[in-house]
Parts: sequence; C-alpha cells; structure tokens
Amino acid sequence: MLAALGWVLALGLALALGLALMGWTRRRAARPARLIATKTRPDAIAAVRPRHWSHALLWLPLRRRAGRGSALLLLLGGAAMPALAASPWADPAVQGPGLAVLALLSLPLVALLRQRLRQMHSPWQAAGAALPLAARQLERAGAAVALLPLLLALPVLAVTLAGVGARALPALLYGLVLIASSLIQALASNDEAPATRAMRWLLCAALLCATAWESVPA
Amino acid sequence: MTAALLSAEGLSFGWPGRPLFRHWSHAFGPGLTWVQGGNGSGKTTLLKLLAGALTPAAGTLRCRGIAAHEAPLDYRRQLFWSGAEPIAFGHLKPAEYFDFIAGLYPTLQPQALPGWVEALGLTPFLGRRIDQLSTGSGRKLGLCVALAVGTPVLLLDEPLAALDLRSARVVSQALAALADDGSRCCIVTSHEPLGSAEARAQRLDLDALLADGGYSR
Repeated sequence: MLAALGWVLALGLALALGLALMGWTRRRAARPARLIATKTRPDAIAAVRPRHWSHALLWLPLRRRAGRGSALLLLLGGAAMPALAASPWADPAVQGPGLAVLALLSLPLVALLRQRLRQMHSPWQAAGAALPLAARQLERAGAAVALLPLLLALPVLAVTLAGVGARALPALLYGLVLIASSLIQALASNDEAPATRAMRWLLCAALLCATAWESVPA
Repeated sequence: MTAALLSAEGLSFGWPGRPLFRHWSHAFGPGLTWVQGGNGSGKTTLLKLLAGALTPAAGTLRCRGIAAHEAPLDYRRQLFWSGAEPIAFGHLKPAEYFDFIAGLYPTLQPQALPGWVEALGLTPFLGRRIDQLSTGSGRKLGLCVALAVGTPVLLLDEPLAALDLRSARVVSQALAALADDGSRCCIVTSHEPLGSAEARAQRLDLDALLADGGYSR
C-alpha cells in the first residue's frame, strides 16, 4: 500500500514538473523578440572555436523555439517512462498493466519525437546539402534523441524486473521486443506505407502486451 | 597553363521540361570567374551544382582531384557556397554560426573573422539571432564566413545584392584580391558591376553558350 502511494506520488511529481516546465517554456517563448541588441560584443567572435554540428543543429534548437515541442516531449517522456518502468514496485496487481502501458507509450512517443525532429531538421537538410554534412548523420542523431526517454527507462526497468522477481525468459523477451520495436520505429523511413506501419504497430503492441503479462509472476 | 581547381566534365542537368546543361564541360582555374546571364539563365543552378547541393543527371564534378560522386563530403569541404537565400540556421547567433562552420571547415581562419565583421558593419548585430537580422545583414554574415572560410573554391551567388554602398565596396575589394590569388578559385554570379574586381575577372556568359535550349560545350 505504501509502495503504491509512493509510486503515485512519484508519478504526480513527474507530471507536475513536466507541466511546470511546459508553462515556463511557453511564457518564455511568448516574450517579444529582442530586436535591439542591448550589448554588442565584438570579442564574441574573436574566440571562434570549432564545434561539432550537433551543438548547432541538435542541442541549441532544443533549447530554443525551433525545437521547443521536441524538448517538451523529451522532458515529459523522460519523466513518465522511468516512472512507468518503476510501476511494478507499486502493487503486484499493476505489474502486468504497468509494463504494458510502458511499452504502449514507448512506441507513439518515439514516433512523435521522430516526426517532430524530422520537421525541425528538414529545412536544414536542404540548406546543408552544400555543406560537408551528411543528411544521414542528421537522421541518425534524430533517431538517437527520439530513443532517449526509453534509454532513461531501461536501467530502471532492469532493476525493477529483477526486484519484483519477474520470470526471466518472458522478461528478457519483453525487454528485447521493447528495444527492437522502438529502434525500428526510430529508424523507420518517413515514406513507409501506412498499411505497413499499422501492421508493424499492431504486431509490436500484441507482442509487448503478451510478454508484459507473462513477465510478472502470477 | 594553370591547373584547374574545379572542373565539370560532361555535366547534364535540367529542371522538369527545361533542360539546362547537356554534357557541359568547363574547367575553373585560380582567380575570379564571373558567371553572367539573364534572369533564369541558370546561374544559381550552376553554382548549386558545383557546390554539390544539386545532383547532376550525368557528368563528373572534381575539385582538386576529388570527385563529388566518389567522396561528397571531402568534395564539399573544398568549397564554400554562399547563396542569395537567407541563411537557414536562423536559430543561431552569428558567433554560434561561426563555431558551427568552423567545426565543418577546418580551413576557416578565425583570426580573419573580426576584421570582416567590422569592415561589413556587422558588429552592432552580433547579439541577435540570424532570423532577426535584416536581409542585408544576413547577406553580410554569409559573406563574412565566405571570406574567412579559406576553402580553395568559393561560390558566391549575387554577393553584392542587398548590400549598402560601403559594404559593396569592401566586397568588391575582397573579390579583386581573390582575382589575384593564384591558389584559390572564386566563382561569382552578379547582375551588379563588380567594381575594381571587374577588370581582373574571367567571364563565363551563359547566354552566349545557349544552344537548342541547353548549354553544351
């Protein structure tokens, strides 16, 4: 009972943190753009240092308006996924559903993040065609970022499954299917036929639900 | 006879329903080449093809012996293209853009940047993001990078457009210096007179090459 309360509290805190961050980012974005520079710093360019392209095309956009939606999703996903991965601690009755919800959340989260990052990168891919920067590198980096919430949840999930005495083989299968399906989702082409995508989603969802329920002891 | 820094061999490219280049070959040596032609004659397309931003239907592009289709990243590292469009990376501030370009082009000379920024009057705008810059300031930023990037080949599309008189003079002088540089090749398209650089520029008139709706030579 106490564990269940703790879990609910953790989930509530994670949600509150996510909502507070969302509100803060919205307020920040609503401020009028500062068109007049208050201070010019000629020295700012005297210290030019080569930086990896990911700083300009991944890290900085996520902190600014260009990638605000993706950053919010990352924050919410990064909070929700580990919380769900820890859910089997709460109550033996929610172990199976908790794992299933984690898996079923992972797929749309990765898909949505991937789509938003592609939208963010598309004008830069066109502009970067004349730069020594391979479009494939941007694609891969986007896929890696989309998988971040799952990567955060995986260690929590491993500890949780070991802690609650999950059945080894189904739990291993669950973990493998979760990783594989999210990876395929992150790397899937934008031009994939809707029917193929729907079939893949259904198959992954069925496999994940089945292995989630089988993983926890009856 | 000086060796070509950039060459197009049997280049073919066209837009749907409009062939532009048919087995077109040309070698660009050191110095300044001024590509001329009317609106829509394909000047920007030619620069984009040479930059590797467009893929030709046939033919080979080589820069200092590196073929674009064999080693595209190495090829693009040899040249820098400054287009007439606004810089796409509007979320960056100029200093961040310089860092980004310095990461992609090891040849960039950071010590040259402050001089060009000052000469083109960009200093008051360094605190703004690129998408907050005016058209002219955005062009100047692209030109600052182009003039400091140090690649063997520079491709400048309408470098004098949208510039104030003082900045246009600075860019003309820079082009004149590039025209005399025996180690670098600068290919420029411009409807504006190139000022002091004009007399030293080799001309490539696309209108004169036009034959049967396409360029072939």
